[in-house]
Amino acid sequence: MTKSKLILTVMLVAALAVPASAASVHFDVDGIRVIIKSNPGTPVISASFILRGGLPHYGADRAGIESMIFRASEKGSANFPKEELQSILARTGASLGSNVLNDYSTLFTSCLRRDFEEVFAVFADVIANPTFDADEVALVKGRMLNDARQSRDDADTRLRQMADELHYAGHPYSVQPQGSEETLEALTLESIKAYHASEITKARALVVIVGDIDRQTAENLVRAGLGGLPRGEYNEPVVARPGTATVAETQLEERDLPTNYIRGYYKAPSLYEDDYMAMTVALRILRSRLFEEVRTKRNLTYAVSSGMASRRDNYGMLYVTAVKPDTTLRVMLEEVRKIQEDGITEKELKDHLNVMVTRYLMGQQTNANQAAEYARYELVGGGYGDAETAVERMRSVTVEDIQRVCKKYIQNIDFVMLGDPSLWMDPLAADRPNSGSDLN
Amino acid sequence: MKRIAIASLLLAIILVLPAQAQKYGISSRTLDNGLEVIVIENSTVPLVTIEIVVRNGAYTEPPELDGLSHLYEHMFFKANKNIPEQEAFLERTRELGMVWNGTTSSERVNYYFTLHKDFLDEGMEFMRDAIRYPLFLQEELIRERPVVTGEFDRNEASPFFHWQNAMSRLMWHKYWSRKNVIGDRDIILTATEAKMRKIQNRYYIPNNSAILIAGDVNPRQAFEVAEKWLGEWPRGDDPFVEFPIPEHPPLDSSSLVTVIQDVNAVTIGKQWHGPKMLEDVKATFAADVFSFAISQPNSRFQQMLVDSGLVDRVSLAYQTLVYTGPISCNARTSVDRYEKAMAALQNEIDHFADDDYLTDEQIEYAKNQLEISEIQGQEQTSNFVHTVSYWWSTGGLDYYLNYLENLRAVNREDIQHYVKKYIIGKNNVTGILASQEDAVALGLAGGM
Repeated sequence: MTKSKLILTVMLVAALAVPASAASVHFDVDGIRVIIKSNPGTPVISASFILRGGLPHYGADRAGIESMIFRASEKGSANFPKEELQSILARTGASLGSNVLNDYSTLFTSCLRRDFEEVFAVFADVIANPTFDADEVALVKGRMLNDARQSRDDADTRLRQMADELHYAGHPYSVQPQGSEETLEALTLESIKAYHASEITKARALVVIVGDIDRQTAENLVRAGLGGLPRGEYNEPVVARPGTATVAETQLEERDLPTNYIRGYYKAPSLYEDDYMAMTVALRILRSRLFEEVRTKRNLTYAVSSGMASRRDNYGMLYVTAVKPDTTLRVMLEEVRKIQEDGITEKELKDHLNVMVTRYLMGQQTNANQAAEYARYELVGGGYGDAETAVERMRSVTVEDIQRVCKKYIQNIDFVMLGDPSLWMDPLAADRPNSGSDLN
Repeated sequence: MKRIAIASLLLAIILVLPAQAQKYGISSRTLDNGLEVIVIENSTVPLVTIEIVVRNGAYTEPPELDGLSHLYEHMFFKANKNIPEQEAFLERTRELGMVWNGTTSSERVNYYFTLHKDFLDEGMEFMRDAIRYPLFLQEELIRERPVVTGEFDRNEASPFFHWQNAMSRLMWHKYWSRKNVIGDRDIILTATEAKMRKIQNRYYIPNNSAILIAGDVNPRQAFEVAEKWLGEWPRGDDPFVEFPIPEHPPLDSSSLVTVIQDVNAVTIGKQWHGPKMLEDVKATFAADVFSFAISQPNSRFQQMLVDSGLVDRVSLAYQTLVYTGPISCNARTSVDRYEKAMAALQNEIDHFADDDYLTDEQIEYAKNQLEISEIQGQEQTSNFVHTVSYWWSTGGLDYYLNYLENLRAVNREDIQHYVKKYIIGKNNVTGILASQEDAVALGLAGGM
């Protein structure tokens, strides 16, 4: 080993040694689970109110209901009518927004620490006591319907919808949690009021606060603002499909585009499973290889990728936009095969871990990001504490793990393509028991 | 050894000079070759971001160079004197644990790496090689062409790209290439090493660039490594003396363009020529306050358009640029609401300068919110560095350092002056994005 390599190795060890945080704690406030991470001295504070369950809990036929409730709640509450609420948000510069995912729904706020007590009181009141004015709800519903219609205009958005429809056929994830035109049309003022009364409960709630805050302050705020929520009951819905898929399918949709958009989904380990971290590293390495082989060496595309979601019933993904889908996909699948059959080197693994640690630390720069990561691990993974051991778990992945998980999971890929169906040549034809493709 | 001694002497001189700026954790100095070194301290995480920003981009491109700033940005990540090919370049980024990227915009090109703070020196060497010694191998240029055209294809797959392009062509009718960041396919497909060298020699010089070092680093250390790795980068001639940027002529009439795409909503766009940052700097602050104030849900603008149900969303924004920044208003509606929405939007615009259009409270809150959004933006240093580089490349670092003070000074008269001078009754471009069916129903068919 040369001197420079030795120095580099020593520095890499230093770089990977990231101290875990000791500032996070969890506790129960009148039946509401609360996680806080105290980051003293930081000027911005973030709070999230999260409802567990997501699509598997409320069902595909009610997709959009929690999004509509949160969006309508932002229009005013019992103690903070619309004008007063908007005035407080404008004066403090606080943000208030929502995000619904497949497995949980979040209402979040972010503001300066000095305003947090005031903003949290508003935040809690729109959760617990929304006004649901009929006209406001009608406007929100109209906008959500237009969002659903317009979502088809964007090729990538439509492609994601197609992939979910195909890969998760018959599963609650087959529709988007923001709702479709059909599910949104069915929602009424009465139905969202009834849902709010029965489902916005302590049993389903998780509160995450990250910033310059201590436990006592957080307890007082949560008790005062959310202590009146009904206790309710919550049973974690069963979502995982048994085993891996055995049949890959294809769906093609014709659209006059200058290139073809392609996504491939396969069943992948969930965040709570042991293989998740190895798969995450594996797909980061595959992504680099695809970038080098497909974009850099063969110049077949601008955009090629691989990755994985973090759903409770999870998928791994291949993605590309290509004018020659046949050639491009074959090259991509050859890269998959190489990892599966030939594996990777120790150096390749070590180098990629360096980059992944950098990415992880970049994600730790804001309190809002930290809050989101705690929620993700708490609700889909093995508990929020796993967010703090991510680097160590990354570092424990071996080259053998990489090859093993690639073999185990990257198979029976469901492909969807938006573009010119005449250019489609099934890259997995040999794997399919029947060779027919659907054309929509 | 002699060179090292001279470098050390220079460094000592530099380090005893007072810092030009000490605000928001920012310090800056200018090296002898004209390279500005900007340091942003934040030790939240043990990372450092190294960014080179160059005053280049669409605004420097006559038609024969349309898109080559962007192609150059792609070539930055390829072979250089010390790294023989792109594969080796990529491998080195991984060895150093780098997260990297580059962007091209109207008045800035930037390249950045984020890596562990212990690799600052290696990262600076890597940046030096990439910025100073690119090879522009013809074979790599040829191989990159389909990659860039692939980026074109993706843009052209979006209905909104066609809509924005149609409006931009009308807005910047005489010097379209100088606002067209992605460029012209044919120019990119015929790019040569000679053209790349032309851009390099003209713009990639230290006195037209800045290096930003941000994160868990102290200024002294940062200034040292900047001097060490970039202090010998030779100065060049000011490109804007020999190749001045032409001013965009004003719109001599208003125009309407309809863009027909397979879409499920009707999107309205209106654009005006806004302030030139260095000529009417006061108006740029008024523009930001006004845009923020009318974006608030309790503003009259939002109430009359969104709360009324005429549009689903509406925004008005000014892009701060030296060479005429656009003011853009975008709204989404539907075919059945279009006529009323357009009338209501015009009515709001006509009243922008009314004494009671905004309350005193709304103006003050907008200023407050802009200030808070700056504080929030500073939280993520690896992103904040791009904000700082943007302002360095356009109006200069002082514009940003004095931004909040200037915002606080904005009053109602400033806002009224801004909207009267640039928006109310001024020539503009209106662009409507609709499906064929909706365009026919609205009497707008026959568009692009």
